[in-house]
This record gives sequence, structure tokens and C-alpha cells, in this order.
Amino acid sequence: MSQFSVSFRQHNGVDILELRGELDAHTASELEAAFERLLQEGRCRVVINCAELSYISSAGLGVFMAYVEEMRSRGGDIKFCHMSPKIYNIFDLLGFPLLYDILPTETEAIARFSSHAQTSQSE
Amino acid sequence: MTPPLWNVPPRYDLDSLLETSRLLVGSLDADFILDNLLRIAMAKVLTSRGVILLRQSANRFRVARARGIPDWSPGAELELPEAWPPKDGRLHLPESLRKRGLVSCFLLRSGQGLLGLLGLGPKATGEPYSSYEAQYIEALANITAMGLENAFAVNRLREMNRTLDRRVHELETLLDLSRALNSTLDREVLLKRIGYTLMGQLLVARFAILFRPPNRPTTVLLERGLAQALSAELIPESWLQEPRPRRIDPDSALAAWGLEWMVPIWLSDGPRGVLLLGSRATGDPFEEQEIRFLEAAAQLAGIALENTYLFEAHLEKQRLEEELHIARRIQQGLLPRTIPDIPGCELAAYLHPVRPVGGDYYDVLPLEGGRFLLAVADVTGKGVPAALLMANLQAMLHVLAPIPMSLEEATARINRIICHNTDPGTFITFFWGILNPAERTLQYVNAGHVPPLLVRANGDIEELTTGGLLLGVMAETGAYESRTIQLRTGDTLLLYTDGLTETCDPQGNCYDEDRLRATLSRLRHVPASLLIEALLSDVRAFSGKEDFDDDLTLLVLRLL
Repeated sequence: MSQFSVSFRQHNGVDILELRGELDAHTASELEAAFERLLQEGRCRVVINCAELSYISSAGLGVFMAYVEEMRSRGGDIKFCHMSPKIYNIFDLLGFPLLYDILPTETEAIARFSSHAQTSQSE
Repeated sequence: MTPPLWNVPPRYDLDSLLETSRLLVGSLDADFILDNLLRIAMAKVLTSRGVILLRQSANRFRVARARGIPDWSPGAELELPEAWPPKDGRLHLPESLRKRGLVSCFLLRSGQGLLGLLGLGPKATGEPYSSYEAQYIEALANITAMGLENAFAVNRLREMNRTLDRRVHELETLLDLSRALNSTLDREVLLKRIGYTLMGQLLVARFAILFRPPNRPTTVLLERGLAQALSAELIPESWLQEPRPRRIDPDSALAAWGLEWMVPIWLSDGPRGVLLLGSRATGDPFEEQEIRFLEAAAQLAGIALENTYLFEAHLEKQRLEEELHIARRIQQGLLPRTIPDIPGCELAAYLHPVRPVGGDYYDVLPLEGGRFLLAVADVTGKGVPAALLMANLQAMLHVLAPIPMSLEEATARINRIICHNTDPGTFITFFWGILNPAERTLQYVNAGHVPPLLVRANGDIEELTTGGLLLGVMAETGAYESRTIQLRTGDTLLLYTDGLTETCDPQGNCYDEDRLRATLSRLRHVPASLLIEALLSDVRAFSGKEDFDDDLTLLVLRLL
């Protein structure tokens, strides 16, 4: 049985989800529950920290696809950081870098949200 | 014009050529090589125009780099004359390059053949190229071609690796899906897992699954991202018959839902549904291999979905069996637990339903004054419907038994109630009688039941037929008649249901009444319980089977 867990943190109004272990069709429901919780609380700026993510299957990626539109329609987004080359390779193979911001560090990912916010304020 | 002898590359040019070549050949980055080749060549001859064409096929070329040429940008394609490049070794400028103000061209040739060409414009000074400039660029082009060939080979390898990586990932996805689908029978969980897998693998946001469960109509099991709700009627039946995935006609009604592909779900018994998909979020079309992936994923999904329905059916069957088991216990409780002792008589009974419950019934009830009520009934049909009515009859009998009322009147009442309670076509054949052991009499009414046989001690056989119509045909059927018979020592009375005389041998001959009469007359001195045993073994020997095909009830009364 694959092991997977999600933990939550907050920083400057951005929710940081740390994924740990193997995210596959079996464990996708845990991530789904995490997103449902965020939506219920009206939180839509999410950074996914992949540092401890050891494997991701297509079903796992599908959860991001399922929630990103909702997050974006509420003015938020899902951004990724700290991806190992192995994890990045899977994202890349399927074409995810075209649809998502993938940044080296958590700080950069969070900063991306605030720069967007400033842009939209100045507009 | 023969170049003058002194017109040769100076030493420093040779050094720079060597260094440049090292740089370009050593790089495996085709873009870097192309950029530098054009830049260095243009700088060498001091021209503002230059182009690198790469060969696509025989004489088709693509513009890879272009500077200073207004109507050519990278990506443009052109054809050079069939006879180009000329075999005679003398390289003349193709017309299409000359028209764009280019004055000279150099081949990029590797061991694999012609890779492309480098075209250059006139020198800014207006002078012709010197011989050593031409030689320099030719040498640069030759060396660079090798570097380009290597870079292309590496690119091809990278591309192949990536394709392989994709295939491996597709297989992993199928494995992940099949593991995830095998580990649950919860349809909602299954459908979610299927949905996430499709979204993640193909970046689709719009899809639907239509499925036809066993013995049920086709239903929409899953839909996501559709502009309006889909209904199964929208899918023509002919679509379900398609064996291979196909693109949905943009003019068809379904295109309005944003659906573009249809992938069939076939199980071993044929077509069972379709997976419908919209376009990829990135806009890229599905590749051939991805369609094959979808076919495999649709099969996996189909099998898993089918299993959930089969499992539900299995649970339902188990539940029904449990209920039947309980019903059987209840029905057994409606039959006499023990046969009462009747002075001067011997009584034995046997009841065998072919299903867990059935419509046969017998009863023995003590009445006031030392009398006993004997009854046998057979409800039409089998199983639960028959058993319900049997229970109804049993209840009426037990309520009516203590009430002082004639047998005829009680029969008529029961008939009226049955008529009111049941659909036309449901009947009960019913025989009952009051045994008075002191007077050795039996007063009976036969409401359409197979006539009980009374075997006298001397072997004479009488049929007890007096009564009326079977119960449940007409509410007002006229009066039931009763008859009282005198019983004597050695008499044997057999009450039975037609399960006995409808038992057949393998040739289809039934255990008819003649045979029954003969058996009874042979067994007439045998005690009641042994008589039942002997009669049953005779019937089994006749049919050649241990089990009976119909509900069967026997009630035997012997006078001592």
C-alpha cells in the first residue's frame, strides 16, 4: 500500500501544501480532500511543495487538473516548487509546464503570487 | 579567373578557423551551431545577408536561420530544382537564392549526405569574394556540418528517449489504474480514479463515460466539464457498436458538448459503453499512441465497472437468500410441530417444498369434544407468492377452527376472503375434514383438491370428492357440500398434493393414480409413518431421482 500525506502551512495568505510519499490513483483522494478543505475555507492561492514527493502518477496529476480551474476562477492558482528531476520529468512528459508555474523554491513560488497581486492592484 | 598565388588564408585565419571549428563541432546544440555558423560566415565576408537552409527531404528545404532577407523567416519552406546540387562539382547559386540578393552558396555536407546549405549576400564593399574567403567559408561549412550531424543525432536520441519515457509512463499509468480499480468495488471511488487518471495523463478537462450495466439500460456514469448535462439517449445505438476509437464528427450533436473523441468500451460479451473526451488543455491533438492508451484505459474501466454491478447483484442475491432462509423457518413454523396423538388412530405427515418456501400446506388441529381438524391445501404457483397465500390460509384456518360454524360455511367464508385478497388466476385446492375418533367418523369438504383415497381393510378404495369449487375462483360460488363417512379398523386414508402424481420417470410417464392405488393397496397394512416412507421410496424408484420436481405433501391416517 502506497504511503502519502499532505500537510498544510500558511505564509502571507498563501497555503503551502507539503506532499510526502507516493501520490497515485489510490492516494489521490487525500489530495482531493486537501483541496476540498481549501475551497471550503475560501483559500485559493496554493503552493505545492514537492520536496518530499517521491512519486506521482497521472491520477495524482489529474487532481491538480481537477482543481486548478476553480482556484484560478477565484483569482488564485496552484504553483509548484522543489521538484526533484524525477518528478519534474513526469510533469514535463505530460505537458504540465505549459499549464502551471513550476519554480525552484517556495520563496519564489510565494513571491509569484504577491507580484501578481501587485500587478492586479496597479491595473 | 585563377586566383593569384599570394591570395591564401593568413596564418591567424587558420588558427581562428581551427578554434571556431572546435567550438562548433564540440557543441551538441544545433541552435548554437547554426547561430554561430551564420554569424561567423557573415562577419568573414562582411555581408548583411545570410541564410541557412536545412534539407527536409530530397529537394525540400526549410529556412533554419535568415538575416537581412525580408520575406524569409525561420520555418519557411522552399524547393530547390530537382537537379540541385549538381553532380559536376561546380556549385551554382539556385535561382530562388539569387532572387533574394544572395550571391554565393556553400554545402553543409556530412557523412550522411547533404544536410543543407549556407547562402551569403554580397560584400558590403561591393568586391567579389576573394578566393581565400571562399575557401575559408567552405572549410567552415564542412567542419560545421559534422557538428550539426552530431547535434541532430543527439536530438533524435533525446526525442526517442522522451518518446520511450512517455510510453513507459503510459504503462505505469495503466498499471496504477488497474491496481487502483482492483482495490475497490465502490463505484463512486472507481469513477473518481478513472477521471483523475484521464485528466492527469491527457490533460483533458471534459469527458464522460456511458455504460450499460448487465440487464440495465445505458446510463451516464461520469461526466465532467460539459457545458450541459449529457443523457444516454443522445448516443446513437450504432456508436456503441463501433469497435475502434474515432473522432466525433464536428457536425454531430455531441460536438456541441465539446466532445471530440469516442473510445468504445467492449467486454467479453460485446459493446458495453463509450468513453467520450474533449480536447487537451494545451490544444495539442492526441497522438496515435495516446488513442491506444485510451483504448486500454477504457477496457480497464469497463471491467472494473462491470465488477461493481456483478458484486451488487451478488450481494442482492445473498440478501434474498437470507430472507428466503428466514421465510422458510417461518413457514415451517406454520406447520404442525408435532402430530397430536389421536385415540384409536395413527397419523403421519410429510411436506417437501422444492424451493425454500412453497404453497403446500397441511394441518392437524385439536377441536373441542376430542375431535380433530385435518387439512391439506395446494396453492397455485411456487415459491414466495404461493407461500404468502399459504400463510394467509393457515391463519384463517386457525382463527376459524375454534368458532362453532359448519364446515361448509367455514369453507365458503375462506373462499370469499381468498377471492377478495388475490388476483384472478390464483387458486387454492383445499381439502379439510373433522375427525371424530369416538364415533370414528370423518366429515369433510373437498374444494377442488385431488381426491384423498380411502383404502378399506379389504383393499377397496374410495375417493373423497364431495365439496365444491376450488378456493379463489368465485366469491359467490354457491354452497359447499360436506359428506360424512364412517371409518373402520384397518382403514387407511391418504391426503396428498398433486406433486405426488405429477412425478415423472425419465420417459415422461407420470406416477399416476392407478399406480398410486396399486401401491396403497399393497401397503395398506403398514403403519402410517412406514407407509409414507415406503410410498416415497416407491416414487423415487419410479422417477429415478432423489428429489421431487414439485412441492409434495402426504398425510396418512390409519384406524387401529
